[in-house]
Amino acid sequence: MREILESLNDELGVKGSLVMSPDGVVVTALLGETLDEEAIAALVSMLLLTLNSVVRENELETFDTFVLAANYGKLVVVNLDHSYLVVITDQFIKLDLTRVEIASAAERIRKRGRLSVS
Amino acid sequence: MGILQQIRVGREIKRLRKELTERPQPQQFVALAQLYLASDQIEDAAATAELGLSRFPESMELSQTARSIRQRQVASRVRSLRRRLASEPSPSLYAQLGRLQIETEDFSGALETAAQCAARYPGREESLLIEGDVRLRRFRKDRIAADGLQTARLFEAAVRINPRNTRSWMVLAKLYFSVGAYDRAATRLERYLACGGERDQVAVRLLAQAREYVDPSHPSDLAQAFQRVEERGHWVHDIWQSVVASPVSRRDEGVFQALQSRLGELAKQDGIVRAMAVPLNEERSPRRDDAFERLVTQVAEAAYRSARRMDLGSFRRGIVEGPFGKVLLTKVQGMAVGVLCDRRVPSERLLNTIENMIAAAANTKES
Repeated sequence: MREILESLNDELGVKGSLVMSPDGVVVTALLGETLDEEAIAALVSMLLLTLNSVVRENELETFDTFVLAANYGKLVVVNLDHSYLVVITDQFIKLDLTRVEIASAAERIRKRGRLSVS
Repeated sequence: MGILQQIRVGREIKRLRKELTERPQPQQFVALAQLYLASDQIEDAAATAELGLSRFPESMELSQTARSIRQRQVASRVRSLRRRLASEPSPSLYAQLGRLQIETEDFSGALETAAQCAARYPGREESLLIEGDVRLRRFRKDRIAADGLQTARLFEAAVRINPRNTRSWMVLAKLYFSVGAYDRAATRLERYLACGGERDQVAVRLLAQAREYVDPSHPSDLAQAFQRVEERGHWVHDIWQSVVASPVSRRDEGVFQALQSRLGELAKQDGIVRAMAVPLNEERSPRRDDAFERLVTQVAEAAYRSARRMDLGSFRRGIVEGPFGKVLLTKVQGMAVGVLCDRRVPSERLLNTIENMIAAAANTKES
């Protein structure tokens, strides 16, 4: 799985990526030195708690992808069913192009089928 | 903690998380945060307390829990950063340490960190930013001209090293605007917008305002401008609180009604199911009547908190995609707008349209 993240991180503007369980346990992480993987996973986990709760409340079943764009960077979270792929990019990236790479990485991780953290 | 106890705590955490999703109560947030603390998961404890506070801002118990967690969290991060700096120093580690020290108001510690960083990495922006932030805090608190001038000098030096740092351009723009140096504020805002902030409607409006106030026959004298603020003891424009984050509330009927009416028209378009605006700064009760309104509010607030804590800056836009289609979110001027639409609708274009609507609604009110 590490090589999938490595290849994703080679994309222009991608600062780091990780795979985590729904309750914030890091499975694999490849983040730059400025990013603390445990802190990011904990924050994403709390974000997911809110997101999943309101999505269910609206009877929208579940979400596949969540993109957060902020002034100094972007965060993409892809639902892998029993885990999540989290990608952090800079603020300049055009997500339309990079999301193809992210979706492809997510598919490859899913195919590995090794993740069953729930 | 023994294995058996770890298992017990793990089970209890799982149970409380489930309960929180179904029936959130302040006591459960406190209990969950304390369980995380007991198992040394400080980040999870902090995130839990913060989420709880966003839902129950009046809870004293939650507020005390959050404060004590934050103290532990900062102390633990400072220790860990110092350890890492001793073995593998880097400018970004110095920057992280400096930010934490400023956050806890350890200004002399932050200045020391800046000095160490400058000695080790003289050509980098980090030391300038740490010291600049310390001076900026002091200037905002005491309004001493020398601090203001020093802040300007440090951030100007930082943008010479890294001209793509949007935050530095914005700090300079606000600093100059606050003391009435509009010509300088305008040029810094232009640089901010040119290097990535082009969709920041607040900055666009601020630039228009700065250009309007510029007197071309009298270029600003910075020393005089800062001195004037020190003597008078108040800002020429209190941009720090009011202009950049000017909240739009339900009570601000003009803006809100104009926007809702435009969103109503938008919702009639093909592929769009719902569109609504929600003020975020008021009426924060978690018991909003409409489930979609709760989605817009809670996701925007959670995204805002997460982005800040991940050092990504202020949350601006969000896209939630699923079998249902997608929900587009934007947060501008204390207001969140959410649109439920199908997947064919181009996200970026629609979000641009919505942000223009917000700006137009605000302009309608002003005119």
